[in-house]
Amino acid sequence: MLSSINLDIAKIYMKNGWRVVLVDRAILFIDIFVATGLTFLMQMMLWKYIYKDSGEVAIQGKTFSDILLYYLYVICLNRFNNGYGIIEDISYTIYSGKIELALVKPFSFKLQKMFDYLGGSLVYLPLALLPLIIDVTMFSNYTVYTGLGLIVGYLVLLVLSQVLCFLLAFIISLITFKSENSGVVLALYSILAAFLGGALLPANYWPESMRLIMEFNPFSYTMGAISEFSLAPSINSFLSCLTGLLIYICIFNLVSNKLWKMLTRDYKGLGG
Amino acid sequence: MKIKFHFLYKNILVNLYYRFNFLGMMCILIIAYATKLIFLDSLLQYTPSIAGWNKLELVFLLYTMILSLLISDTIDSSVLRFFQKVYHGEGDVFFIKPISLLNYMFLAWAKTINLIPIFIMTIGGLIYFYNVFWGSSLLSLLLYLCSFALGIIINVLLVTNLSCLTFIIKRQIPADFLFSEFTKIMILPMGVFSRKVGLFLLVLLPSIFSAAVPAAILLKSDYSLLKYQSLGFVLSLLVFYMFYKYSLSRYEGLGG
Repeated sequence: MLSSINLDIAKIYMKNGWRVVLVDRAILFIDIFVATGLTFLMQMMLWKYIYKDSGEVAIQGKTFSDILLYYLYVICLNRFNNGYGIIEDISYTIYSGKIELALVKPFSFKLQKMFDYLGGSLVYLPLALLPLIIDVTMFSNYTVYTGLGLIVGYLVLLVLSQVLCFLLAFIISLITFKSENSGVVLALYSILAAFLGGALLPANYWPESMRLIMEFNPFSYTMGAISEFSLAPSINSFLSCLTGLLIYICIFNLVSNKLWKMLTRDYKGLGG
Repeated sequence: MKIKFHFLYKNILVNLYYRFNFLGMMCILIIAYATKLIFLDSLLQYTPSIAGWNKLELVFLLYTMILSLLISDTIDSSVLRFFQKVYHGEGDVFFIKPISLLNYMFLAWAKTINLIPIFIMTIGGLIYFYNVFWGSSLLSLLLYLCSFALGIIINVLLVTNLSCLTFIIKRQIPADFLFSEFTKIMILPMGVFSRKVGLFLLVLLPSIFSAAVPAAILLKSDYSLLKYQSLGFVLSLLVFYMFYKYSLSRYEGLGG
């Protein structure tokens, strides 16, 4: 996969994706202010009363300010690692019969869409960096080395999580080959991402029986695990997050290639 | 009236045609509600109550919210579909028809298939919350239904008001996305805001409390909330009436 990347072409796709996101100002505004702000407000109100009613200082080792910081990280990451747009795009390409146009290009379909996606995500990069800036400047009293380690580690995980998020979205959007309807696929994705990713609750807050799934599912490595690392930065948590990401990227890369081959072999075109 | 029934009848026929869509939608609804329930259940491991609401009361709030959203969604989807057509330049056809535009806007593409989950949820709720419903006085039950109905109309009006912007700025307004963001707050009981802020929000943006107010009326006998909700309802109706007229007069057609 890596050998076939042509950087000049990749740059053009990224620029294109960047522009497409910027043009849709209404969505951008709602995404950044309403969706992020309101979700955070709701969690803040909820947890304020949970800490008040239960009368405890720390729940599962997290104080009230810890949990606020966790939600700031995870909600911003939820916006940044958001596969909704790319699923909509790929599904539309598939069911409207425009896929032949993409297939004849000398750059594989997956890579076209991946650089498209990465370019679009760059618009949201300030949002993903916002919690890091707030964390480092206001909340924590890290030593210089820990602070630097946190910044570098966060950036590395951010890039890898983008790739994983794209692969997940790509595989889910391939369902359209069979269902020929994107509404169901999109709804399924947004529920799964919020539930499994950790945007609703931190992984170890779920009931005992569900914790294993919540901690080690692929979605959680795109949001929840990175937030947990940022809250308590250490070499160990960084390495476990990194290995998780790399393993899932390898698995889903293979799976998506196999699926793509299988589905396009039977594909006869829907009339382009 | 005859026209309205005709619209609904045709609509049900169209909806019944797409059976796979219906099955997919049902599965997604079940997953979505299950996640909300598990979320609530996990939160209540750590605390006996949230803002003075215990587990049964919170589940009842969630139930009211789900039912309210299901019914609003039935009409909302017609509004959204209508404005999608206007945005794509296919709306001009509806302006020259001899019947009111509002018929098309609210009924033509209504998701009547939602009536099945609504029916199941209503029956299920009546059984599960048997004690809540029959243990409360007739007055609070009536006010609950009244406030519940107001909440649904308010939700539909909010989506319509947002969508009417399409007439003026000739762009697609992501009204459904915006509304779904507002609905995230609907799961909170009103007690999480201070009384003054809560009432202020209730008048200004009654949509975010369209489940919390009926639940508070039935469970906490907080009848005074209905006054403020009605005020919010009248306000949003006024906004709809004026904004609809104004935006329609600004509409020039997008070239069909």
